[in-house]
Parts: sequence; structure tokens; C-alpha cells
Amino acid sequence: MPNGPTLSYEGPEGIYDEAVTASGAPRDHLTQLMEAVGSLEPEQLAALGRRRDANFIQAGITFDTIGPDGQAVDRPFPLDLVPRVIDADDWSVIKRGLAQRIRALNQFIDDVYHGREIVREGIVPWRLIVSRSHFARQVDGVRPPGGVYTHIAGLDLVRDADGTWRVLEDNVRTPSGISYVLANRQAMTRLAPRLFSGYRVRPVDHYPQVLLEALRAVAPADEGEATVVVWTPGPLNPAYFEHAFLAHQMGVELVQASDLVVRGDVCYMRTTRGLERVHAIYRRLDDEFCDPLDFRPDSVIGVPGLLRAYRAGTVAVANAFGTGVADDKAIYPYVPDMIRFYLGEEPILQNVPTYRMDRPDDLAHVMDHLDELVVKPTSESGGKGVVIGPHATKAELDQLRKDVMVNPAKWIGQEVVKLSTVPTVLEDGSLSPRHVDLRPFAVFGESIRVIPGGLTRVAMTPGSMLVNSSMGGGSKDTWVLESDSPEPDPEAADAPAQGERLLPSLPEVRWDSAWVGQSQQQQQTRDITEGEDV
Amino acid sequence: MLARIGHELYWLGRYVSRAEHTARMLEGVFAADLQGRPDDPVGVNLSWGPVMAIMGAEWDGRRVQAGDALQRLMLDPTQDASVVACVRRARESAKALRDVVPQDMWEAINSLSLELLAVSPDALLHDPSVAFRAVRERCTLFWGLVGRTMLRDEASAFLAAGERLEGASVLLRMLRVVLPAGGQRTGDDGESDGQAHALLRAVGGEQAFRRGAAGPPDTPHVARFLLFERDYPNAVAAHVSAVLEALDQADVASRHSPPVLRLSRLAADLDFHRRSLAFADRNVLVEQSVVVQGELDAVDRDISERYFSGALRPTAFSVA
Repeated sequence: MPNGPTLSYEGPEGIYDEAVTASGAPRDHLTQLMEAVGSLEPEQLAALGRRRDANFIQAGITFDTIGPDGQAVDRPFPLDLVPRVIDADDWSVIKRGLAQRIRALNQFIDDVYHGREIVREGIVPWRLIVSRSHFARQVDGVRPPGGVYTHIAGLDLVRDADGTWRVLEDNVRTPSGISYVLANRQAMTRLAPRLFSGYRVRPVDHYPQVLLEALRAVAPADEGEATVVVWTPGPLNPAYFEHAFLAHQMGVELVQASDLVVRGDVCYMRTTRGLERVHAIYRRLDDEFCDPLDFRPDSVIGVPGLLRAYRAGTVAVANAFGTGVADDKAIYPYVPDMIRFYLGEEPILQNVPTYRMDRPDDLAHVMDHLDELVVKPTSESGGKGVVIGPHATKAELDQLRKDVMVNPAKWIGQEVVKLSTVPTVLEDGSLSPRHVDLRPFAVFGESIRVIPGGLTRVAMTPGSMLVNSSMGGGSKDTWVLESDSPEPDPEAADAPAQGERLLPSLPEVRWDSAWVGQSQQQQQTRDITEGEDV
Repeated sequence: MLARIGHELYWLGRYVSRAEHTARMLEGVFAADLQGRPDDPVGVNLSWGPVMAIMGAEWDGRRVQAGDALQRLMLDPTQDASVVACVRRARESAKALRDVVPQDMWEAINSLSLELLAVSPDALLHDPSVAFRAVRERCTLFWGLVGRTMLRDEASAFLAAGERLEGASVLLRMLRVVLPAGGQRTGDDGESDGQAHALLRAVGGEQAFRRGAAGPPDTPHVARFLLFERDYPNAVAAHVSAVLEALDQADVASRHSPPVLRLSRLAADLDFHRRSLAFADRNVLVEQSVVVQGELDAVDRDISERYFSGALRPTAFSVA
């Protein structure tokens, strides 16, 4: 390498490294970055790291984690100083793949609570759908304003051994982490502006505006501007920073349950000027806590009657109630079929090969290869209860075998993906490969818009593939490069191409019968009430 | 603005104001206590027991030592009325409002809280002026920052309303102790004149009184000055007008707002009595301050009803 760089870096054997090829040369789009990083002394990198930590603590961007003594400690959100770079071609595949998948999931949710055509076609068994813990029979037959269920989606992507992007998990309930994407980018531009030289990195800081536009687009406001709020469970929630951050960035109110009230079929917030109508709620808590009248009666952080207002179509809730049925791990294997069924397209992003344990053949295969596969419980989110075969002890595997045999349908098996690696700064300032995944965020309002990049999570332990922040994972700023070929408008690329528009994709007959009927009825009730008042 | 946020701002104003007035009064009483002798009828004097009663601290009617009273009113976190408790709750409010109030204001409160924690009981007895000055300066800084950095919107209006309402309420309570009720105290004018003078010092109005009021610093004059003199910013009438102004600004329909209507009536009354009671004796003035106090309590309830959707006052703040 030129100029005799002080830092050297080598990719691991047999695993796809995103920075260097198997022969050790930097990949084309990374040559400049690797040179810039390589020209730094290890001490310089370590000093930058200390500055970064001090900045994060000052700004309150921290993360609770369990320290060695078992006590919860507040530590600065771990940002690695070497950014991860995704070139324009890769990104275009990811973006189209995400949009396609999210449209299919949205259609699936609509179908589950209405016509159930996918069940009648025999593609997804009804028994499987209704047995999901996040299936919400309370919203059966309810179509949310605008027909959008998955307003905010964060899908977890990984790269396998040959560099192909695959979907590891869908997350269409309340995916978190976007504030870290923005905070990471801001920190990187301040700490290491030199790394950006020679790159045209696509910005991410418009996310709050995109989100606000999407929420306004689905809000059932009669006239004037829709009132949007962010609903947080409270300051004790681990993601409270993100809730406050988003509300602040969007310039909307951050409400708690006590601020919201439902009168008649309409949701209001209590303001100093009396009750003010709320049109769209970006909620950051699970379905079951939202309304003690319809979901868990013991929830004290819910708003009584909210579901009634939602059914009446007077308030949009993002994400809609009942979306959890689509990101269940047991539904995941069916998503490629959903894409073919609803959209008539071939999936652009593939699943990780998955075994459905309700099939005897698959079950037998998984049982025989337990030590080579990953086994995950369904109806759980994140890394809860996941057993990675090659890393598990014999005792753990025996226990798992017993657990699975009790109720095989509650589990799925997956091939182990050898996550790709990216150069990462160690504490002494040297570089070493670490495994990463990617959670890009998509916002679905009038159209689907994918924020360039997303949250790259890094497993900080050598060889480990556990990237969860709670497991000591770190994060990286993720750069999506502008493409070199002249493209008229990069934003337009996020907008759906032909055939991707939402409204026509919903069958006409469904569109008018339920939804318009509801809103008309609503209109009438309102007229009557107003008449009485006079 | 969310009712919860408005409520929090209003009480932030009250807490800071309460801490400031308490510290100022303790400072005045402390200075007077050093000079006066209990048996000197014309001496400048306010005994510590009534002071504790004024501020809502527990007092069983027995004689209280200066050190003990200072300790309890400044540093005792278990006394709801103590400065330290007020500052701590102000800090909690400010923390919850960090995205509403400018960063500097939060820092002013946070540093005051840290400085008070660093004061030891011994140091307080040895030289209380350090702690007094810290409270006075930080609170002044806080209000100065409000004036210089905060947008003149609903938020600053509720903050100001809380501040001034609390100022008026503290002053009225002090007056009611200084002005002895009933006729049995006649012939004992010297003592209460001394108290009135001490009170004037405690609220920092000695100079303003000398320049602005016609008359000697005896009880009726001081009381009238502190009740009705709108030109002196720390008089009840000035506080009432300021609350009125703040609410008038915050309310979109102030003509139909019960607290605004009540306050404008009260302000007019005070202005009227300034002349009509120009020669009134202390009994009339005592009566008057009881009436005003009652009106202010009603204003407080109206504010809570109209703006904070009936949110209750924090339980810790229950001074009668």
C-alpha cells in the first residue's frame, strides 16, 4: 500500500470481508478510506475514541448495560470509528428489496385481518397465524387510515459468505435504533471529517422529516395540518432518549398516557388550551399495553378507549395494531411466498435458509444437525432464547432438544450465516475484523422511503456473531455512496417504481367497502353530535 | 403546549421563587437577630419561631435557636419548606423539561443544587452568608436567563406566573405574622414596628421604602407599602399584576378565563385600596391580606382547572 501505512488490516479466512478481497487488497470503493484510516497512528485513533466517549456522555447518548459486578451501568453508546461503506449498486438492491418486502408484509397484515386470501390459497396455514401471540383479534376487520400498517419498519440484514445480502429478521412493530444512526453520523462528521474526503455520502438527517411527512400523510385530518404526537411509555424506558430525540427533531409533542384522552370516538391530548384533537400517534409501546379496555386490563400506561377511536378511523396509530403477526419468526419463512402471491414478483432479497419445525422432514433434519444450526423460539423479539448450535455446549443442546420436542411448532431452525466482517478499531488503536449486521429503516406513508444506510451493529468480541447492544455490541456509521452514473434525483429512487404504488395495489372492492363506509359513518355521527350541541 | 408540561413549568417557577424568598428572608432575619435584643421593644426583631411558621416548617410554639432554625430551613431535605428541598424539586422539574427550557437555565439550577449539597451544617452556622449568596445569585441568574434566552411564549408565561404567584403568597404569609391580629396587642406597638422593619429588610425593600413611601417605617406604613405599592416589584400588587400579565399572554381567550378575570378584579381592588386604605390601621390591613391570600388560592385552583386539566399541586408543596 502507498505511503507505508502504520495500521495494517487483514480479513479473516473463509469469511466475506467488506473492506478487503480474499487476496488482501482493498475493495475499489474502499481504497481511499483504508488509506486515510491506515495513515493514522494507533494512538491517534485511541485519542479520537476518548473524545468520542466524552462527547457522547456529555450529550447524554448512553446505553444501559450490565457491568461485570451485575449492576446496570450507563456507558457511552459504542460507536466504532471506522465507517462501514455500502456502494451505490449494493444499496439499490437493498432498497428495492426492502420496499418489496415491506409492501408484501403490509398486504399480508391487511389480508390477515380482512379477506384471508393467502389462507384460502393454502400458502400460509390459518392455524399458524391465529396462534401467534401478536395476532390481535381486536382489530379484525379494521383498516387503518390510508391502508398502511407498517409505517416504520426496520429489517435486519446480513451478508453471507459470498457477500449476498439476506434478510435475517423482519421487524414491523416498533423497531428502535434510528436515533443512533443520526447521532453516529453527526459524531463522525465532527470527530473525523477527514475520512469523508473523496466520498459522496448520502445524508441521513432528513429521517425525522420523512417520518413526519409519512405520519401526516396517513393522518385522517379533515382540514388544516394534522396533529402528530410521539407516545412514550415514560422516562424510565431504555429507549426514552430516542423518543425524546425524535419528538424534538420532528417538532411535535412527546406525550405519555396521561396526556391522551379519548372522548366519544376521538382521541385528544390535554393541553394548556384545553383538549386538542390528535390525528396521528407514533407509539413506542407494544399493542398489549396500549388500551386497557381492549388489550391487557392491567396496563397503567395505556389510554382507555384508544382502540375505539382507532376503529372509528379518527386516529392513525403507527405502527398499526396487530402488525406483530407479520414479523413473527414463524411467519418469516413464508415471506418469499407472500411476495410472489401479493406482488407477482420474485423476491429481490432472499431469506436465510430456514426449517419449519411443524414439518416432520424439517424437524428430523434439525434434530440431526442441532450442533450446526441456529434454533430460535418464535413469538420472541431480538436475541431472546436463540441458541447458536456451533457455539453451544452439549448440555445446552440437550436442553434445547427437550424444549423443542415439547412443541416443535414454537421453534424454527436456520442455517448459520457467517456474517461479513468490517475493520474495527480495538482499544489499543489497532484494526481487526469484526462481524456486523445491518438494520436499515423504511418509512411507509404515501410511498415507501428507505433511509440510506441504517444501523450497523458490530460484535466486539473476536469471532462472535452476537451484535445486540445488550450483549456488548457496538455500532458503526454506515455510509451509502452516491452512484457515479448521473442519476436525476436520488430521492426519486426511494419512491416506488411503476407498479409499487400502494393505493391501486389494494383491490378496489376492499378499498371502498370497509374504509370509506367507516369514514362516512364517522362523518354522520359527528354531524349528529354537532347538531345536538347547537 | 401539553398540560403536563405547563404544569411542570408553573411549579418550576414556584419552587425557584420559594427557594429564593426563603433564603432572602432568612438572611434578613439573621442580620436583624444579631443586632436586636429580645427585651428591646423598639429593636429590629423577628423571632425564629414565627419565621418557621411562616415558611411552613414544623414549629411547636417553643423558642427556637437561630442555628437550629437556619439548619432546618436551609439544609434539611426532609422539611418540604426548606431551601434545599425546593431546589431539589426545581431540579427534578427542570430535568423533565430539558428540551423546553434552555440548557443554561438547567445548568443554573443544577449548579445551585450541587453547591447546596456541598454546604455542611457547621459551615452554615459559622458563616451563613456563603449559602445565602449562592441561592440569591443562582436564582437571580436563573431569572435573568429566563429573560434573556427564553422565547416569550406560553412556556415562559407559565414560568413567570408561578414565580410571581409564589412571591405574592410568601409575602402575604410574612405580613400576617408581622401584623398581629386582634386588639389585645394594642399598646405594644414598639415590638411589631420592629418586626415590620425587620420584614422590610428581609424582603430587601428597605431602600425602596425610604425612597418611595411617605412615612416612618412603622407597621401600617410598611404593610401598606408591601401590599399596595405597584411600583415596587416585590410588593403584592406588583406580583398580582405580573401574574395577570403572564396569563393574559398565555391564554388565547383571556376574556373568558376565570383566573384572568379573578386576577384583574384583584389587581383593581389592590389599586383602589392603595388610596382608600391610606390611613387604615393594622386590623384592616390584616383583614385585607387574609382576603388577598384567599383570592390567590382561588386563582391557583382556577389556573389548575383551566390550563392543567385539573392537575393537583404536588403533595410536597402543601403550605397552608
